[in-house]
Amino acid sequence: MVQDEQVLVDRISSGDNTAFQEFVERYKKKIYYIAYDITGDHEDAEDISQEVFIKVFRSLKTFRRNAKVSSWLYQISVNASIDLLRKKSSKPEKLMDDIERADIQENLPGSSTHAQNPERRAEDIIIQKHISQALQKVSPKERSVFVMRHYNELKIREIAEILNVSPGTVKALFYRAIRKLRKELSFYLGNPGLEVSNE
Amino acid sequence: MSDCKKCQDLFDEAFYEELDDKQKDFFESHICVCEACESEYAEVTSTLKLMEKRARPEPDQAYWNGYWSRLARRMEKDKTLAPKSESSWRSFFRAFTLAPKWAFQTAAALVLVVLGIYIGKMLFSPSIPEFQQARQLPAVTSQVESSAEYVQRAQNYIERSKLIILALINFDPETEDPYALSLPHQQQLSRELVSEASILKQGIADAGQRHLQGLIADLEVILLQIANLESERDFEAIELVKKGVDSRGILLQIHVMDFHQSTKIRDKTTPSPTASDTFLNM
Repeated sequence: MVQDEQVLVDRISSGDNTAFQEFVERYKKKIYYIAYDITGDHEDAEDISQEVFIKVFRSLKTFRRNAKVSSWLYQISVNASIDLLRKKSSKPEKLMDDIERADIQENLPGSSTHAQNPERRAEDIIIQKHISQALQKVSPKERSVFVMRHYNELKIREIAEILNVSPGTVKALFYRAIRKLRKELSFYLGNPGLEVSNE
Repeated sequence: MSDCKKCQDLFDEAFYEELDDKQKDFFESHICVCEACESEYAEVTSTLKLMEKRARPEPDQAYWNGYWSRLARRMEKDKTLAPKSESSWRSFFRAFTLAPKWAFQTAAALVLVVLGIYIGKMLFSPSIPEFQQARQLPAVTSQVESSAEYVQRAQNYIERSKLIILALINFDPETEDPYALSLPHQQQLSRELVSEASILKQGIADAGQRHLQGLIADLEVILLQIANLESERDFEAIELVKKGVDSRGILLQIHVMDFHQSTKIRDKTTPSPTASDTFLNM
């Protein structure tokens, strides 16, 4: 895989026009999702993912040959997402009500809202909202670690490489995120009626 | 490390089923006998399972199919908006930093020698005899009058550039928050100064102020680099700008200019021969 990535990078560096498109096709989803998980916003995720590819295209020639392309891409994406969150944190955030948020979810390209009964749908929307809000309460770095580990299935070692910290630090950030999420979502975790299932 | 600490350190791998056989044996046997760890692990597990309920909206295939064309359009737009020289300057400075240390030392020594000669000439050169002064006076006066405005503008330009460069030079990413740098503001000022530089250089050249012209050209390069920094976190590029300032001896040149400026003011208050514009005429 790493060798394959390297061949692609070499092709781009040598001016092969189709190689960059191939590169984008290969990584676009990974980059979009990591940016979405950190920022929680479709527009921001699209913007960040495009910025990442533009940056990569400009600096591919300086890419260290012994490094892993995907780790490098994640690194740029995570940094760009954290930067954006910090910029946004200085601006007042627009508060959305549940209905507005649900509308946005429905209007996302291809978003498949289930045609279940309205009660279940409303309950889902509320849980989703609380989970998203809880994630926003976690610091950008803790959130990055959490989403990379939990939603993007990266190993502790890989996250450590991406964030340029020790695996111990990654674990500490991960547990800190879990503790904060637990505190924020204690209503669901302590409520027998809303037992968490694996479905 | 105590067994509890060792066990808690494995919670993460245990949840994602990444334990090897030995770790798994230890983890399971410890959890069976330690209520505190068992309860702690149950809490971690329930939180992670709850977080799995988060649904990530999936854009449809049409969105992904159009991704490349949107990216290509944006790249094309960026290409037309971005200054053409960015990549070439960057690669130039990258290549510059690869030069061996002795090359910089030699260049710095040469710059110091040349500056020493100029300063020596300026401070210790004999004064022009009075009759020569009298002959030269009309020409010099008219030249100074015609160039005075540009010199004044150039000094103002250098002062403003110095403030931007000092802000960047004094920025330490290890100890300071990158946002304290106010990079967007500095970039805006840098862009304004870069656009002013070409007119100023022409005026200075016409006025025969070659040294000032050189300094403004050097500043223009550095300001262009600052204007093109991608973010406060692009520490590599910031470091390159710092090296550029260092290798061109920009701050030294500005200090020398300030020194001459103060000498000029002093000379005006205590009448003495002709030293005034020596630096500006260098």
